[in-house]
Amino acid sequence: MRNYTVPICVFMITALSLFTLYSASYVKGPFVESSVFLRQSLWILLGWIAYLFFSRLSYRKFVGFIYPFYGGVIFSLLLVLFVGGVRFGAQRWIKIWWFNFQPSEFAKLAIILILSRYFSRKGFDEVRLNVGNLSFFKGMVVPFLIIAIPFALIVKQPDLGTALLLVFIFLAMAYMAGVKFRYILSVLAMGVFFSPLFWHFLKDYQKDRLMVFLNPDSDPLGAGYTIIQSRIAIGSGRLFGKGWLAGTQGQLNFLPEAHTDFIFGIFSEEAGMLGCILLIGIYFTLIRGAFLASERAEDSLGRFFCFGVGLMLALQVYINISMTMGLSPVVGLPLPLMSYGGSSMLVTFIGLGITQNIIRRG
Amino acid sequence: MRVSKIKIIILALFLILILRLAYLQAVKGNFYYSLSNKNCIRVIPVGGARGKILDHSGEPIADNQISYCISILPIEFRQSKETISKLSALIGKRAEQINKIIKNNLISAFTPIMLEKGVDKRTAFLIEENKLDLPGVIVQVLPARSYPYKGAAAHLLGYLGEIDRWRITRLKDYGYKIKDIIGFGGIEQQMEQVLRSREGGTQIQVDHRGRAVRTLGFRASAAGEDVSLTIDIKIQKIIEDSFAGRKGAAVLMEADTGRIIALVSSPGFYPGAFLDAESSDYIRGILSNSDAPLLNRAVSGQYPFGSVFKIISTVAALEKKKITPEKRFFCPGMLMVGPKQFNCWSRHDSQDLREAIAHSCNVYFYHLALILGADYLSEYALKFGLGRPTGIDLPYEVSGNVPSMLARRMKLRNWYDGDTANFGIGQGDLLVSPVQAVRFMSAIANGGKLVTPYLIERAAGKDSSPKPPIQLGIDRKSLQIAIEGMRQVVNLDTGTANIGGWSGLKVAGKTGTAQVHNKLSHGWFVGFFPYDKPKIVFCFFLENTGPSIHAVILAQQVFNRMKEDNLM
Repeated sequence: MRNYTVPICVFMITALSLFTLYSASYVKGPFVESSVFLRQSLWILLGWIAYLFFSRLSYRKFVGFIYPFYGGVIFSLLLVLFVGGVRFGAQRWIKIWWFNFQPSEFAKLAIILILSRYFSRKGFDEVRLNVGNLSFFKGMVVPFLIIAIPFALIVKQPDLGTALLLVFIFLAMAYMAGVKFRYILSVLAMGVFFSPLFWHFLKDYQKDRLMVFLNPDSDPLGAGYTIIQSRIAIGSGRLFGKGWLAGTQGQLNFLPEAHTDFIFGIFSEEAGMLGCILLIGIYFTLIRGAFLASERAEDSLGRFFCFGVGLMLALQVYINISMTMGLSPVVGLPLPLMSYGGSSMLVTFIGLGITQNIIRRG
Repeated sequence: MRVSKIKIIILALFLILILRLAYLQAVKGNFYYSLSNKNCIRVIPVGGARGKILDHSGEPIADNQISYCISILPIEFRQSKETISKLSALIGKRAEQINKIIKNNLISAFTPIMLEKGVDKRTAFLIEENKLDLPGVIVQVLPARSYPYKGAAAHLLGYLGEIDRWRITRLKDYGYKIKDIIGFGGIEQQMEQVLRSREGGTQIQVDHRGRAVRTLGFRASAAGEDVSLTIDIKIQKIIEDSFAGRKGAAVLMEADTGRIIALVSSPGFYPGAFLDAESSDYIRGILSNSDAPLLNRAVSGQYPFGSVFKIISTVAALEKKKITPEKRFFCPGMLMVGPKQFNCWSRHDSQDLREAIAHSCNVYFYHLALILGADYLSEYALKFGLGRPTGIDLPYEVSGNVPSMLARRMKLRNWYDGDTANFGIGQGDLLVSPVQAVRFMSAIANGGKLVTPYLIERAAGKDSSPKPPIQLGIDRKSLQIAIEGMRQVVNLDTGTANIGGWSGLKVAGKTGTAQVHNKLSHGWFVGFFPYDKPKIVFCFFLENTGPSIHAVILAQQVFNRMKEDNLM
């Protein structure tokens, strides 16, 4: 039964996603294309296919493909900078036929893969980890250089949320690999030290977002609007929600971006607190499943990879939901498996498919 | 080891999410729920008809007439050149004018902006027929106040106007909002709660751009309720006409009950002007007029009382047994009180109390006042209801002033015998409003009951319950002597109100001429009829028009016309 935890959770979340998206595009507004629901259905279907494929393909077989995949991601990130489509001031995707390919989503997977490969590089048959043996250079500098390229390219897009997510994944995986805690702390401290410098590199809208996070009422019709409306949407759901298709904030388009980053707002307005606790519970079970897989993995590559996937999910769920509730600044991170978006959906399914493969072998 | 630490951190983060969720949805859920409703629910108001104000026979004095007005609903209106020019052709306003009105009056997308009021039926129908070409242009059927008797009883009625800032801060909790129509002064203000209509409207759900998505509900507006007055509008009109624009006031009241039959203040005004944007010149004229036409002199004006007060002096002296009606004083035309000379208006020689009333002899009442003392004069003035509001159901009533030795001494000033003498003939600091005068006179006429004057007979279908009169405990004999004196005022050849022509009118009364520094004096004539069985008390007051004789002539004119019209 344990083997089915992940697919059951994924199934439930994607089902809720479809219900919510149907509701979000029920009363058609200018924002929501009518095809959102159909496209999402298609992506979920493709996702399941990818999931089945990777869960049956032994993960050891594509170890050799990790570096080329990493290279491909960097290439496509470069491509985005030159020919990418612009949306809300950010250049994030390349149009391939009808598919808006978003390389930064794939970068997450690439980083997890390459760091897993790096930290377990002594050979994947070796059971023992290099606990505490990594020097600052090997434990911090080299992996930092590995993520530095995609990080810089993603910051340039700009997509600060994803870029920071990469840093968090890197630090957590280094920590798990046994890098001395003080090394990690020193890197964090450097980051904090230089963060005022970053302020000048931020775009105006990013500064606005940080300012309205501190005080959303400072600009209620501009940058603070989404936060306020999202908070109203969530709060007005109360205990039992307004019912499916009955949420006024979402149905009447008061909440912008309701089908992508702010889908949790719509969901909680219609499902209420009980529904939200259920959803968060499912996410938690899913993440716990990934961590369990990590503990039971037969080699360190699998161990690192499952840990990375669980971490990626946990961070995205936490950051996305806390931003819709006004607990953290608005950054463009989707709610995995819920938000509309093919790249994110596909990447999550692939990651979980590989995890499932590791579970089967473990 | 390290993995479990990260797992604990993640568990903690998820707990934070749940806590925040509980705060937003469970603790503050109702607050956010109401915010979400405010986001998407709008009400398009529909006004109701205000209650009518009727006279005692059910004749409307302030009525409601249906009027059509052309408004636009900003949410549906397209401010294009084409629609504006079409609209301007239909209602006869220039395009710039229309644009200006829209710009100046926009409150919200759902509050209709009135472009033209009082359009005729034909225009209204034309607009309705062209509805498709004129999106957002609506014909509103508005009930509007109309005044079948024009400016009659204007002070009594008060007027309607747009709510002002002071009132809106006080009345917000009662559902008043900006641009609401509210009563100012008079019955309109006093009975606002009854007359006021309950606004209805259509509740609609809108999306984030304010476009209507669906209709949620409709509440019909409810008309306000009528108020019936005790006034006889015909008598009211006769008196107003007789004033012929002179400054002053008049009150007619039932002696036994306090029912007001007419209550006039002059000069008057036209109350309908205050809701008409085109009569702003007229309103400015009223507001800057030194005769203060908006002032209701009958209840909000206070004036020196003059010799009418001698009736109170008489009753006080008789009650306190300081004098008998047969007591005679000699009037040489003046009296020395201390070092000062106090004059009479004529030379009356020797006379008793009744004659002194009839001739309004000052010297007699100087003597009487000095015998009686100022304290008793104050006591009886207060007893007859002077110096405090009568409690009539109109706003802004004044209390007048009754002088007293005590009040004078509290201000560390002396009270002299000369003050007592002056007080006895109603000069000095004494101030009385016409409605106080009529109330005091009713107590003389009805055998010593102090009634509360009232104007409202029925309101919202319920009869008003007048306050029971206060028994003053005054000997009827004292009152009878005062009444006999007042009958002589009219009847005796030398009586101050005998101008001839009183035959057939069984009137008794007392005149008063109150001197005003540097201006013509005020004239009073206060009394009742018929003198043998008093029914109606009256007070006629003319401000700065000279001696009391003018007030007497005015009274006679009024009574004669009432008699002609069978209104006695």
